[in-house]
Amino acid sequence: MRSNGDRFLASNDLSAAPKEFKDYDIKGLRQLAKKLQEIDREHARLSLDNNAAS
Amino acid sequence: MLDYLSIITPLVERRFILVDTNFLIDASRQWSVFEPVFEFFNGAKAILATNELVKSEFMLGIRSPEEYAAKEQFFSKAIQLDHPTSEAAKKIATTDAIKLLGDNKNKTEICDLYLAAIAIQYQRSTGVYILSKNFKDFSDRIFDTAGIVPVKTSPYISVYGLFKYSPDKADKILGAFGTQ
Repeated sequence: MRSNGDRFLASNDLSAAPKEFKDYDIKGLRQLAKKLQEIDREHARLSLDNNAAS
Repeated sequence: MLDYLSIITPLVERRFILVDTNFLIDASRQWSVFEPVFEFFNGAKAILATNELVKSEFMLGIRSPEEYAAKEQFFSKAIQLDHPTSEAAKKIATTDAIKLLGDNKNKTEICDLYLAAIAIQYQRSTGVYILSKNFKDFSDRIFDTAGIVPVKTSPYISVYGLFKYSPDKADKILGAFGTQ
């Protein structure tokens, strides 16, 4: 079964844009980006600790 | 910088934006400066789309199950249409896309080749753009730069192009291949 996106893209008709696409969840994205940044910082810290220990 | 985005509103309104990996990685790392860009696309009802190869490239390099989960969720929230590469696009990726980008002068990634293939597949559509900061692969030999999205990242401003496949430009290159 073709998705709405497939139908929209295949139609080459912008007026066929599906209405049911979800809105961006900016709040959720913000939290996830923060989480990814925390993981990055944690890995950088661990890497520094490991280098200091070796 | 954000004021500039309003200029390109008519360009992206209700359009499909095929997002390259570099934009996703940059956005996940410097969210505070990218958040308004996502809000802008949201306001313009643009649909951020991409394929499974971009997702794989974005996910690569995970260092923990926690990071896998966060990246997976980030992708699914940032991308509204995870568009599987169709059989037609796969065929284009090994034919016309290779003819156009395959000289490998720019060390083209497979990911970019497939994004180009999707853009070629929907060349008749006025509403499909590639969003990338890779100006080499999506060069003006083959694509028109319909607009730019500047983001004040650190330490330099990042500029992402909105690339539209140009059949006229491509035909000049493809013509050299004859009817192979």
